[in-house]
Amino acid sequence: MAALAAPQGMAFMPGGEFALPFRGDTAEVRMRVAPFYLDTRAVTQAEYGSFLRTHPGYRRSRIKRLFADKAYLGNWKDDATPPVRALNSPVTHVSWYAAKAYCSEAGKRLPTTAEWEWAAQTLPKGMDSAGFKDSILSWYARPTGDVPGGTGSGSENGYGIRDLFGLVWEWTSDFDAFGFTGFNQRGVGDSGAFCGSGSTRATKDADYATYMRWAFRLSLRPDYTVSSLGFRCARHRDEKGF
Amino acid sequence: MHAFLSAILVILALGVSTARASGPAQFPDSSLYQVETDWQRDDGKTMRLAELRGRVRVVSMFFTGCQNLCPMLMGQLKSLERSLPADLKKRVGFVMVSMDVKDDTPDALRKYRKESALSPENWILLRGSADDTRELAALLGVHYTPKQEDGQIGHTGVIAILDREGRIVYKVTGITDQNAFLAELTRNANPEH
Repeated sequence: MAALAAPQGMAFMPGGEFALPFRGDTAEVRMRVAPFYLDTRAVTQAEYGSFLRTHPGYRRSRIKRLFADKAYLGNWKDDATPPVRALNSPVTHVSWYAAKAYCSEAGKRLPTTAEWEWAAQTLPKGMDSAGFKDSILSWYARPTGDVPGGTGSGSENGYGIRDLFGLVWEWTSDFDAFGFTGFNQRGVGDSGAFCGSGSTRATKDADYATYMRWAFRLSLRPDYTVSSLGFRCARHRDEKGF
Repeated sequence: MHAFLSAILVILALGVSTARASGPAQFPDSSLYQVETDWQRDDGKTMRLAELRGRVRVVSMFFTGCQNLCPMLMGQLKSLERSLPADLKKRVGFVMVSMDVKDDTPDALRKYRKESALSPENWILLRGSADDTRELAALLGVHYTPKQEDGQIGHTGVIAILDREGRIVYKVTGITDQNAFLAELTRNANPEH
């Protein structure tokens, strides 16, 4: 029933539990995810353009340096014009701060890393597990052009969510939350907190593609922008302000 | 008398129009006070970071159920507070922002303030939405995990000094050298700085 009530452009994801692809201090760490809604597609250039019309503070010439690096919307023709023929492509060259602001204005939020990964675990229609992993790795190996393909052109998971793989990497709200030497280690100083992927320990069963995503996220800074990184928004089933 | 009154009214009107023309408060490009998010204080009132302007701020993140790093950091901050000369104390404020957006309600923060004996003059305890808290943490360079099953949150122990305009001017992971921290605080809180 809940699936029928999903807001427009979003799909319902039931809650669940899964293991992180790296171990904590002693044992595997399991993440619980509550039911939530996720955009079925990444935010497009056209949609982002509409946002810029009503929020001029996020235009390329106006955004505060605190919230985005100099490459922000670097592939746009000017302050309000997305790359030609790319209106339906995911917007990229956006910082975490800008993505957060976009979702917030839409009455949504960025998905947590756990939510995104949970949605990404369901097999696309018509694909088995091995084929799924191969297809992700072959996409990761392919260089991204300056403008990604159109949203909706990639695979669809069992809940109607498209393009989690195949177009762009996506921001999550807590992309940097796991940058510790060990997930369960507490009280670490910064000296030990930025060792990143090299020092985390992959679990035996972790597949390489998943592990690579976690490592990639740890390499990001919130003001960073690049042509292969976009976002989509989420919403908790009963979202509250505080 | 009337001329005098009119003159005052003209001056007042000019003052108002100037304030309007300048729009929302202007902050330097690297100021954290440009973030326009709402925060709940432990007295239940809501505030924006821009309201922190004017005093030098020592900012850190914590949560009331924290059993490991936070009590140590809080101990360091209170020791620092005790070492402040009286005149400096008036120009410096401590801001603690909770990472536990679910359970650190204003009530929980109020209880924490009482138990930790944090004076209302010098300490502000804040709680925001999950995403706004993540955003502030990103700006401060604090990393923290989601809350774990035992109620703990893994996090880094960043303590930052913000100048009167909200720019990060000094940042440490735990106060290992109180004198150096105090010197930085004194320098930034100097009215002529």
